[in-house]
Amino acid sequence: MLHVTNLSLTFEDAARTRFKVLDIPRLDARPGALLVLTGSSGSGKTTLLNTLCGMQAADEGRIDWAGQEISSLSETARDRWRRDHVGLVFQDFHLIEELSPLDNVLVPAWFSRFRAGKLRQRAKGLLSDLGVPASRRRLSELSRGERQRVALARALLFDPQILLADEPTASLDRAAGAAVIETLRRLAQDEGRFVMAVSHDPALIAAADRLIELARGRLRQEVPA
Amino acid sequence: MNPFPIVLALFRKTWLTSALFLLLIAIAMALGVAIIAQERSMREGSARASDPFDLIIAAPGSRTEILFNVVYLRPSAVELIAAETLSKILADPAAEFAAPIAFGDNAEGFPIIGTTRDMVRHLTAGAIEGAMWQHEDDAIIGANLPFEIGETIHSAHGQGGIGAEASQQDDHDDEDSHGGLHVTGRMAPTGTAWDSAVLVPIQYSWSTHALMAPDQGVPGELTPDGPLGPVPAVVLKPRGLGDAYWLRSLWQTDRTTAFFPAEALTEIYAYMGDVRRIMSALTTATQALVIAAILSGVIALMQLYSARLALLRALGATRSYIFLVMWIYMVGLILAGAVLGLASGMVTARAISAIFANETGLSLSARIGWAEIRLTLIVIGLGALLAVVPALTHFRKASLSQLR
Repeated sequence: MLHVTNLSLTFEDAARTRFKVLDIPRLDARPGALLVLTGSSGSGKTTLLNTLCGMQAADEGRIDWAGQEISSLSETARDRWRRDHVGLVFQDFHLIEELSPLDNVLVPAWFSRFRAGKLRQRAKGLLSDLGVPASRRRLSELSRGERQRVALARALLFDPQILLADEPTASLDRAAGAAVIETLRRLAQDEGRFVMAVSHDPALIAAADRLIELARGRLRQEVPA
Repeated sequence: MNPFPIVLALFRKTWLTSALFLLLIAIAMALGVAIIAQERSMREGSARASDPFDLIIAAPGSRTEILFNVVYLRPSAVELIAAETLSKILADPAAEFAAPIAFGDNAEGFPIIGTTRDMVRHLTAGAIEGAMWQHEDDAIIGANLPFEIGETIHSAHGQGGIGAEASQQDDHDDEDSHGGLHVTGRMAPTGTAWDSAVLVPIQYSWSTHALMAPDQGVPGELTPDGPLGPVPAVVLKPRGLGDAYWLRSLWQTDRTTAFFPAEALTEIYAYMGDVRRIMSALTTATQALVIAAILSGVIALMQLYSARLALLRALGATRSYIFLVMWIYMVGLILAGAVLGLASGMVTARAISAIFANETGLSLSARIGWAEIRLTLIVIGLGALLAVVPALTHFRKASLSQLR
């Protein structure tokens, strides 16, 4: 499903010296497995995630998602593709405190619709499925684990086939982290989605179907899970 | 797309700063609106108040000063028209009536105006509660005065007018030599400064200042050949337009001046207009500065908000969505501030009008006019245009590097 060829990206430091942050000749991945990307800090994990979902444009190379070549799309087209096909989960949840949990889930809907319509029912169902109590009207009433589940529900609003998570368990305690890992595993193995998570968490690494280590922007080794 | 939930969340997140910005815009707007509305209210009120005074004849001097003396009852020291001249004016058939106006005294702070029955009837269209003067020391009070019919009030010499002239001739006590004025009637409201005046027969003014013996003729009735005294001014009601211009020309002499109040008002309005233009320019500059300061503030404020904008981008919001969120937020602030400023400007103008009306007796009513609406629309339009700046700033800056 994911085909990456000759992907490279360079950044410029304060001294205006360019340095390579990604250099990946080839990467293929299929849905239905929990893929974990690991590596030391600064190895380019998050940059790779951002590039794969079109948030960051590559300098060179090609990224194909199920036949859709996104690296040649305009920024606006990449934004729309990401909205419709990719669910994103962050370490710090990035929820909007002033909105209710339900409205947080509905945020992506407002980018393309004036009214949430049927998506409201779907958002309620997702929150219910992920175990976020419907009685909670404010984010401040939620635990960190519940907040991450709200973020997961937001990522799943458009039923995306691709779910990308950046350190999804790093801010959670062990129990909450385990619940999130179980959800990611279920989304990949039971629902057949493409799930890729960047993580240092041994528990998440242990749950991976496939583990890729990144070092200085290169795929260092693929570790059989 | 629907940017409003995100804009509302932004308002909730920055409510204190937003409220401060809104208040600044509202204050700047209110200043402009109050100045425009107040100036128009004063112009309309003063013009309305001068309506009953068709033509004024006075001794040569400043027309503005005479206007203030006669119409707005702000007495000052003026030259008097001689009794012989008054006699000729009274005899002129081109006028329906000629009413001498004598001022300079007061009753408990309210101006006492000596005049004729014709003038009282002309001012009120005959609407008087109580009775017309029967004796020289009878008084008809303006609608705003706190006295009652049947009450006796005491007069005292004030400054200017016939009082000043008389005080040069003799040494008066403050207390009235007639022992008081008997209130016999109350005028219906006229919307002029005369609503706060005590009207007495002209003979009372002459006799109390020793310009005539007491109890001469019918109180408030004059004939060209009857006993007359000098007066500061005469108000004429010409029979027609031609008569008005003829009388104005006739009494424009080296011993008298004749003018329509509108002539003096035009000069005053020109001055008021200049002042308003200067004030309006200053307030417009203030509004522009406030909006510019707020735009800068919003740009700075949004640096704190950049992670959220980056989040929206990551979740699939296009740059145009980010632009709309920022633009609507700014326009919302400016719109709310401008409307609040319009409302508070009107409240301020009305409060000032009420104070001024209370002091002058003029009927002033500040209201929203096209000029204030235009100012509001200009501020909103300009604000909407300038709001593009912070919106574009964040349109470009919405960076994904803020996310983790």
